[in-house]
Amino acid sequence: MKLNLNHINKSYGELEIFNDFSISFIPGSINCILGPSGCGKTTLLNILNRSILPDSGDCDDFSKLRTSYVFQEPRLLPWKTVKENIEFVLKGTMEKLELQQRLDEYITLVQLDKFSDYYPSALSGGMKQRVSLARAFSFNYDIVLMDEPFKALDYKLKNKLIEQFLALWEKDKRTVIFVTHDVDEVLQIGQHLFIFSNPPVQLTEQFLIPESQKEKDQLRNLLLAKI
Amino acid sequence: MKNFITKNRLISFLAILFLFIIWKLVSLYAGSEQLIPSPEKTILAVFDVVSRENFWPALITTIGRGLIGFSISLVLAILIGIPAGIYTTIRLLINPVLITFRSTPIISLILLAIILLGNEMVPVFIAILTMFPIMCTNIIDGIRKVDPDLIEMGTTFQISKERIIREIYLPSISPFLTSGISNALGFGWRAIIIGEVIAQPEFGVGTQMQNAQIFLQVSELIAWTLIAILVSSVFEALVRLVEKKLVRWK
Amino acid sequence: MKSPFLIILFFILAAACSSPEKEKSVALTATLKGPSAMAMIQMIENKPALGADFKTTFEIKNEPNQVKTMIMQGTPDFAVVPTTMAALLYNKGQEYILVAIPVWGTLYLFGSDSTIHSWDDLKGKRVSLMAKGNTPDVLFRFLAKANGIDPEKDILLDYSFPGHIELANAIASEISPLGVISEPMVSLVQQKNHHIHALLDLNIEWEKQFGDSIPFAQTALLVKKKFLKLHPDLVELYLSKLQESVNWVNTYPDSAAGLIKKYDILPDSSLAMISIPRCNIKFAFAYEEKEGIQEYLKVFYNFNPLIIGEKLPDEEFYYKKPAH
Repeated sequence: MKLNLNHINKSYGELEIFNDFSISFIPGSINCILGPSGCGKTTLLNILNRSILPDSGDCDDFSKLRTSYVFQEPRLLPWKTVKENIEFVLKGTMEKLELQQRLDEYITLVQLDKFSDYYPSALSGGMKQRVSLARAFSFNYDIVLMDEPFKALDYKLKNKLIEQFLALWEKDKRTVIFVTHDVDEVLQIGQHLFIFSNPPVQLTEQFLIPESQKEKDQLRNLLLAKI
Repeated sequence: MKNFITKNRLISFLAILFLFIIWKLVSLYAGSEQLIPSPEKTILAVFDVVSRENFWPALITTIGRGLIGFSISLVLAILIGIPAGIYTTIRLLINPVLITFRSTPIISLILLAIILLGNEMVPVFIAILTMFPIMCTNIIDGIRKVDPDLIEMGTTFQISKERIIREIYLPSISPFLTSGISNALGFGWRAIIIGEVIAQPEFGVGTQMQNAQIFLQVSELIAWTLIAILVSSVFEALVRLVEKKLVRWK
Repeated sequence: MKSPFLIILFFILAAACSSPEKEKSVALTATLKGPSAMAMIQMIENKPALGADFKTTFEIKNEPNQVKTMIMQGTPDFAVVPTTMAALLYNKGQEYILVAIPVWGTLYLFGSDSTIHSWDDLKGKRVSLMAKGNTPDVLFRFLAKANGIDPEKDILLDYSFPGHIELANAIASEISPLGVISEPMVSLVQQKNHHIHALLDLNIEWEKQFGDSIPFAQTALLVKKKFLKLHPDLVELYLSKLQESVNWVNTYPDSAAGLIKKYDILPDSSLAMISIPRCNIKFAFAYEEKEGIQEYLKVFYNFNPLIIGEKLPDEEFYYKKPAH
C-alpha cells in the first residue's frame, strides 16, 4: 500500500490551502497530524476519502482504498439503536452471519453490549462516541480517518475512549490517520507524527513517536514550545 | 378501575361536565328550544339522527371523501414535496402554488369549484386543495431540515443513495410528515363539510347539516356538528397513536 | 392591564344594544325584490303614516333567507316571505302570523333549451333550482312527480346557483340550460338574451293538477304578533293601504312601472310594464283564503313534512277578521 500524496494543490477561491504539498503516511500504523485549528486538516482528510478532489496532484493508492471515518461528533442516526447504527454501515458489505458476529464483537469491545438496543437519546456523549468508534472500526476498511474525535470530551472520558480506541486498533492494526491539535492525545496514541503549518500548508516536521515515557516528555516539551 | 381514573382523565371529564352545565344554563336563560336547545334534547337528537336510514350513507360518504382526498393529497405531497425539498429550483417553482392555496379563503375555492366541477366532486376537490399544500410544505421542510452531517456520514461510508433516502431522509422527515398529516386531516375534514354544505351533494354530513338549517331543526344541526367533532377526534387520536410509534426514539 | 376590563365592558354594551324590545314609532316592512315589492310599490313610494304615532319604512331584500334572518331577530313588524317559509317559521316558534297574500303563482321553467314542450322532454336534462327546500324547488319536483317523472332519477337537479341573481345570470349566459324562477326575472333575462323563453308556466301546471280548488298562494305578508296585539287598528289600516297599492299597480301599470324602476326592482320601466300583468298580483286577506292556503300548505306537507316544519299550522297562524 502506497499512502503518499504527491504535489497536491487545493485552493478555495483566493485561499490557497495546499500548494505543491506532499506527504507519505506509514501503512499499518497510527499516523497523527498535529496542527493549529483551521489549517486544512479536515480538507486533507476529505481529499483522502475522496469526498473532495484536489485541483491537481497525485493521490496514489488512496483512490482505491476503502476509508472509514470517525467524526468530531458521533453522528448517529437518532432513530436507530446502537446495534442498528453499526449495522447501518455494515449492511451489504458482508454475509449475514459474519455481520452479526462482527456486530457483537465490536459492541463488546467498546463495552456497550448491555446497551445495544438503546436509542442514542438515551446515551451519554461518551457512549455515543464509543458507538461511533465501534462503527468505524467494524467497517471493512483499509484506512481509518479520525477527525479530532476526542475534542469535546473531558479528561477522564477521553482517556477511557482512547483506551477503547487502542483496543479496537490492536485487533487488526490497520492504518489510522488521526488529526488533532492536542499534543497529549498524540503522545498517547500516535506512532508517527506529522506537523502541519498554517495554509498554504507545509509539512514542517515529521517525528517518530518514542516508546519510553522520558523521551515522550522531552518531545512534549519540544512540541509545546513550537505550537 | 383505579388505573382508568387518572388525575388527567378526571380533569378532562370535569371540564366537559362543566361545559354541559354552562350549556344547560344558557339554554334555560334563552328560554326557547328553537334558539338554544337544551343538552338533553340535543343528545336525544343525536340518537335520533344516528337511527335514521340516511345516517350511515351520509357519514360513510363524507368519511370516504375525506380518506380519498387524504390519500391523493399524501401521494401528491410526497411526489412533489421530496424533489422540491431536495432541489431548490423545484421548490421555488412550487412555492407560489402552495402559498396561494394555503391563503385562499376556502369559500372562494368552493364557489369556483362548484362552477367548474359540479356538486358531487366539490368536497373531495376541496379536501385535496386544503390538505395537499399543508402536507407538501411539511415534507419540504422536513427534507430541508435533514441533518447534513448525517447525510455526510452516509456518503462517507459509501451507503447507496437508495438507502440514504430510505434510512436517513425518510425517518428524518417522519415527524414533520406526521405533524403535517395531523394538521391536514383537521383542516381537510372541516373543508369537506363546508364544501358539502354549499355544494349539496346527494349524500354527506354537510348536506344533512344544510337541510337541518333550512328546516330550522336546530337540535339536529347541533347533533350533526357533535358527530362531526367526534369523527374528527377519532382520526386525530389515530394519527397521534401512529406518531407515537414512529418517534419512539426521541 | 386595562384590556380585560375593556373587553368585559364591550360585551356588556353589545348585550345591551341587542335587547329586542325598543320603543319605536317606525313600522318596518321587510319585503322581497320582485313581485312582492312591485305589489306594494305605492306604499314604498308614499311611506304612509299609520295613525298619528307611526310612520312606515321599507327594506327591500334580495333573498327570502335575508328576511328569514330578520324575522328570527324580530326586527320587522311586517315581512314578506314565501308562504311555505311563513308556515315553517311559525311552526318553529317565530311570533309572526299570516295576514294577507299579495302575490300568487309566478313561477316558470325557463331557459335556452327550446326542445322542452312537455314534462317528458325534461328526462335527462339539467334543471337549476336555487336552493333545496324552497318553493321553486319543491313546486318543480312536485309537478314533475305528478306528471310521471321522477325528479331525483330522471332529471339532473342542480343547486349551484343559490340566489335569484346568480340563477338569472346563469340562464342568461346559458351556463345552465334550464331553471325555475319567478317573474319578473323571466322577462328580465329574456330581455338580456333573446334565446331564453318561458317553457312551462308552473302556475298553469298547478291548475292542471288542482283546478280552482287549491290556489297557489305563493307569497305571504306576515305581521309581528306583538305589533298586532298592540295596534290592531294600524294593521287594518296597513292592509287597506296595501289593497290600494295592489289595485293601483294593476290599473296604472305605466305609473307603477316608473316607481318600480325608481326603486331598482327592475332596470327599466318598459320591462316592468310587460312584467306586471305576469306577476299575478292580487290581494286577499288571510281569513278570506284560509282553507285554500291550508290546502296549499298541505300539498307541500305531503311532499316533505320538514318543509313547513313537520306539522300544519294551527288556527292562530291566520289573521282573523276584525270584529267590527
